[in-house]
Amino acid sequence: MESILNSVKKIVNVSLEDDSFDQDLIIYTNTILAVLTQMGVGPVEGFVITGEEETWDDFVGDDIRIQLIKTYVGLRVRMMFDPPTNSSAVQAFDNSIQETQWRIYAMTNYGGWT
Amino acid sequence: MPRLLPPSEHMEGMVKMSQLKRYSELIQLSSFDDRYNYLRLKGQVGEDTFGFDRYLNQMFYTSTEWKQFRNYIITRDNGCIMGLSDYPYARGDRIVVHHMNPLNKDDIIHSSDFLMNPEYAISVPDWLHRAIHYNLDNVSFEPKLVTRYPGDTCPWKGGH
Repeated sequence: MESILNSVKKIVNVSLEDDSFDQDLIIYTNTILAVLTQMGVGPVEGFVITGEEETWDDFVGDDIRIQLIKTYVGLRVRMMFDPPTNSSAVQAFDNSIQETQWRIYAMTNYGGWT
Repeated sequence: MPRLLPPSEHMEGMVKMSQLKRYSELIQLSSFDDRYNYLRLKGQVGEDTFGFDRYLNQMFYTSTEWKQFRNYIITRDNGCIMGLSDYPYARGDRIVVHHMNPLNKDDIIHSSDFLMNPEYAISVPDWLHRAIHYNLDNVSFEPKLVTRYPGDTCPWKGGH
């Protein structure tokens, strides 16, 4: 089972062995998980990570649509933790986030997220 | 009656397999030079591609579908040159999504698989895109390391 923190570290290009940024990444990740809770994804009471123990399965079970959630969390944390300096890259990331967010909304509102 | 092939099979058949360039092969190469050499086009400069049908090219590159695809490729490559994590785009770089297998007007008219299949596209800066098409030798590049600081992307906090 894949750790949420380790997935995020991979997307923001931080080595899994390097724990220098773990506290920052945990805070940013929990922020996005709270956003997802508001969007209707995951446990109703909310979900937080404290380290690398929490897995995606703990958050949303083994639903195959989890890939969309991983992408969303990764991209949003990347934009908070280490945004690109290039404006075209920022725009591309923002557009991808908006599209992913819309698709998650579509799933939770019309697809019946389980 | 000829057997109808799905676009990918059909198009790949038109390009010799040894010449077909793929993203999945490219990312096996770890260095800037290796990836550049893989992408270099060995064709002649000035070879006819669209000719007087350049309007097709313009229509395609201004379409919503292309803009969405472009965003996807830049995001997939993590905002880095040729997807190399140690080579992020610098401020001011013009990003180009490069078709690894050159297009012609038939690709656009028949919506071939080479057009918007992520397997055949990669993001590169404009200067490198020119080098790829002009098949330049000795293209080397060392990324400038940028010191990041809080608020450096925010104009009213001292950033740019």
